[in-house]
Amino acid sequence: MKKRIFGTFLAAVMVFSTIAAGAVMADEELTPIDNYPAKSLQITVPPSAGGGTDVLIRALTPKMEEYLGVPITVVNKSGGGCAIGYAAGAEDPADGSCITAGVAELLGLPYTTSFEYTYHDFVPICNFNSCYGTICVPKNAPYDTIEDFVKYMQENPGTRFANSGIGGPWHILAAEFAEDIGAEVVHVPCDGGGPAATACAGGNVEAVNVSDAEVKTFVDSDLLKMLLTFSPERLAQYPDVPTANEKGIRGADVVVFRGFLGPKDMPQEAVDAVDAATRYALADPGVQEFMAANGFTNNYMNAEDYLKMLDEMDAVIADQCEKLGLGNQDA
Amino acid sequence: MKIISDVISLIFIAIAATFFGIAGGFPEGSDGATGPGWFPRIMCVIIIVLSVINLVTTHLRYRVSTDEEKEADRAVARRLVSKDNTIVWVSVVATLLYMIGIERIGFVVSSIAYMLIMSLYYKVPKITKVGTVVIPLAVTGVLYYVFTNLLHVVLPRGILI
Amino acid sequence: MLDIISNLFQPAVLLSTLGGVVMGIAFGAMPGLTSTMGVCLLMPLTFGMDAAPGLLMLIGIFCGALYGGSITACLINTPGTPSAAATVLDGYPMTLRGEAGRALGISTVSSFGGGIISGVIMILIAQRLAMISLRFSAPETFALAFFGLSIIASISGKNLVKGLMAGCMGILLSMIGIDNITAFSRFNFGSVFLMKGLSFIPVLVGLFALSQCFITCEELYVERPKPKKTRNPIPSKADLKRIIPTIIRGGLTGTFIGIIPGAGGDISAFISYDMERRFSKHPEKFGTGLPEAIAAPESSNNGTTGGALIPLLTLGIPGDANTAIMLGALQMHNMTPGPSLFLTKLADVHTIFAGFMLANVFVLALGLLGQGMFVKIVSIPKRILVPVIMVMCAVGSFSINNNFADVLVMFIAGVVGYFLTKGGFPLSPIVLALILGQMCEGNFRRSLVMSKGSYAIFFQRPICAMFLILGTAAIIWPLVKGVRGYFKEQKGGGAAA
Repeated sequence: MKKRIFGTFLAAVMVFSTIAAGAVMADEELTPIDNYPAKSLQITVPPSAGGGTDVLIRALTPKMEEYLGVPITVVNKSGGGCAIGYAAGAEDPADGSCITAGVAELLGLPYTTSFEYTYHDFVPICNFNSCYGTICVPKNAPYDTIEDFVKYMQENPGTRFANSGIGGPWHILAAEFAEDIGAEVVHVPCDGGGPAATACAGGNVEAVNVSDAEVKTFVDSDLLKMLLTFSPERLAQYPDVPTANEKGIRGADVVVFRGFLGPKDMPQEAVDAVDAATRYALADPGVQEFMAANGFTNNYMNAEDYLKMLDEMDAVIADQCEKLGLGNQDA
Repeated sequence: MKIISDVISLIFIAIAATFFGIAGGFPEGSDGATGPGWFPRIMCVIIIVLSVINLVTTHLRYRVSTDEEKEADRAVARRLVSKDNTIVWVSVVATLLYMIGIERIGFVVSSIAYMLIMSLYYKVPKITKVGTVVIPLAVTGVLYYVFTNLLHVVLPRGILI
Repeated sequence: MLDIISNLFQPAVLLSTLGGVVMGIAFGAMPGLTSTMGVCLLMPLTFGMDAAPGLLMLIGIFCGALYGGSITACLINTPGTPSAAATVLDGYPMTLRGEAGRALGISTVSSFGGGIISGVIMILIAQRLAMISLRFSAPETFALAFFGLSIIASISGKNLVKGLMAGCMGILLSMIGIDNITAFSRFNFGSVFLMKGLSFIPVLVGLFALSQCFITCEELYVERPKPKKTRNPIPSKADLKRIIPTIIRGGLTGTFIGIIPGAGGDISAFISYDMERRFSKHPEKFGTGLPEAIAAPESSNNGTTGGALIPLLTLGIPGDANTAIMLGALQMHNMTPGPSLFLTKLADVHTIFAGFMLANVFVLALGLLGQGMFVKIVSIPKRILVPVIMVMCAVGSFSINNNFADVLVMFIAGVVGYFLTKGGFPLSPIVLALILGQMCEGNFRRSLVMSKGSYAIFFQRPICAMFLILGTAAIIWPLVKGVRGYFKEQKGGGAAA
């Protein structure tokens, strides 16, 4: 119960901060700087090359480069459920020449594996995009509303949920949702959101709870129907789909966020500059058009809000990993 | 051939046995699926069985082969330790040093040095003497340009570039 | 029809398609650089373009890279991409006979043929075929991987036991790293680097390219046979007659495998090579440089291009990593894939279809025109070529993940490959096992999670059951034959070593 209130509160904070960020961007005239403390900036991207995070960051960098006045290189260090990238990012020199893309997988790693780095080894800079889970079922499923589906789940223990990877944010979300409605589910881990949605569209599992961007083509192709979204507000493209908050369902606190993290001792001056560069890029009409076309929403959060969200989500993941038996295990 | 093949079979058995032992400590499966150690253990058993079969069959075949064939077979192993093979071992060590050099010294300098030294060691004929210097410089330059400027890959830098 | 042609023959569209194909061939030919990398790195470039040239550039890279891999595979025994690993088996022996030009001509024509066949299928029956990709879930993918692994027996060459040993070791090594079903990290010996498992490309580059360099060092001063002068780069009539049925089979197989999510050119090339060997009247000659043994994998891996585009365009399901990136590019240009795409943006879809065909024509043209230049690689003295290849191996392995540890993995794989070759062990089974090991095991366990522990799931589904039966037969048959052959040999007092 406490968590639900906190989740609602957090959602409200996020909505507010989005609006606030928009307002800030409109007011503040950001002019490119020429005194960035390092000669160049390297952005390490731990998720796989060509994925959403990689594509979005590559779209942001030209404008960030323009603002900072130093060349930016995007370096993909993928693999090991992002472990490789974060291990490298945490050891980068803290002189402002290197930052790392911060995504939700970092939070789960220390719980599911023997990975020794946590988000405490980084300094949060800002968040620029978040996406939220949904609940989708095959088109020909006998339930049309989330209430019917919840009833079905309660009556049929062992409903199968496909997620995008073991211990990942959508796995945690499914576990939290199941716990909230008091149903027993089987989690089917797939190799990414796309395969999870395909498994559901083919009727191999009862439901899938990955993000709206990942199920979009399936919903538009009439292969899946969306019953619920965990976003704070209804999705612009699917105005008929209710949100979790409307239905009083828990889970809106599990989000897939995309932000920037710096090595622990990164100078404040550099942190502020990267933060401003991100805002500068997000305010660019070309970037905005790109983000709208690809279904990336602008969820800018400053360092303080970003850290708050990390703390909150970390607590949820710690709780659910323990319940799922994904303890700290190793050979 | 036979000796090398036997040694490799024994190494395979050792690796499989080690992995089998490690996999024994993996957790049990849940949700009806087999655990993470089940499949690797099966593979380990298969590898050990196949290696033993390989040891036995090569031995049986070797026993019935003619003296000339035995000699030819032994020559393969003998060549590895002979003087003729020095060039291979030098190449292996040089490549290892080069790779360590990439990280410690830097890609550009170590690549030029490596290619230059190797072509001197391999005694590139006189006609291509200009090539001995030009090729390392050109190859390194092109690779560096393509990777850094076109592909935005940051090549390793050590104390130098 | 007219507007498609006028759309296609704009200079910008032609140039970007051509540019894409050229880039693709270069990426494919260089060991360590893959088509995925090319598509990924050039994707931001296409943001600024119009929809048609941008997408066709990506398609060009995709088609070109699958062909490019065969150039180095045939000429220097080093597959430029995983998809060309099966081409090495017969392509290099043909070059060793001095017929480098012939090998390249066959691979060019086969790549073109495979691409065109998949394109025709894509254009004619894309929407109906797309549903296959929905039928492929964990049990089917497991069965396909199992069937793929059964091919180890057929690519083992002379020694079946050694081939199986190498293959099983490959499967065991593919288990290293975080397990996708329980998030348990296996055999990582406390190293963060090994948590992601052995990266496949560095192992491939090490096993083939680097170990080949060491073997070349043994006979550094003995030059390869000079390639025979070929005035005409197009294969002879006799060759064409021989390979056309192969190309059709390969192209169709490739298209089918391409449609399946998660399976691409690497798997289909091996499956086609194996099929061709089974259909052949003289399977014992495979591995000695047969034209149809080059045509099969090459037509098949290019066939996957059209196949992978089918579910992408009709359902929005990417068939592999390349098309996953293209999905982003399509959405970027406001072309959300799905059945509606064929209703609302039919003209654009037709332009993509036509451009795909054009990209394959460019592959043919560039392949044939460039052949004379490619063949010259064989004439470069080995002592100049070897250090250059070693440098390229290092830089390619590094740039896959920007990780120095991958370079060391490549080096170790190279040394291991050298000794395995000396001991008479074939290397291709290891590569095949590394591609399929994790796919086989992970999906097996995922199926059991889906079925809540019931093994019946593998037999209730027709596609799954079919592949399992085919795979089992393929494993058992050569074993029976091998054992029978061994006893016959013993009886006859056979003395062959």
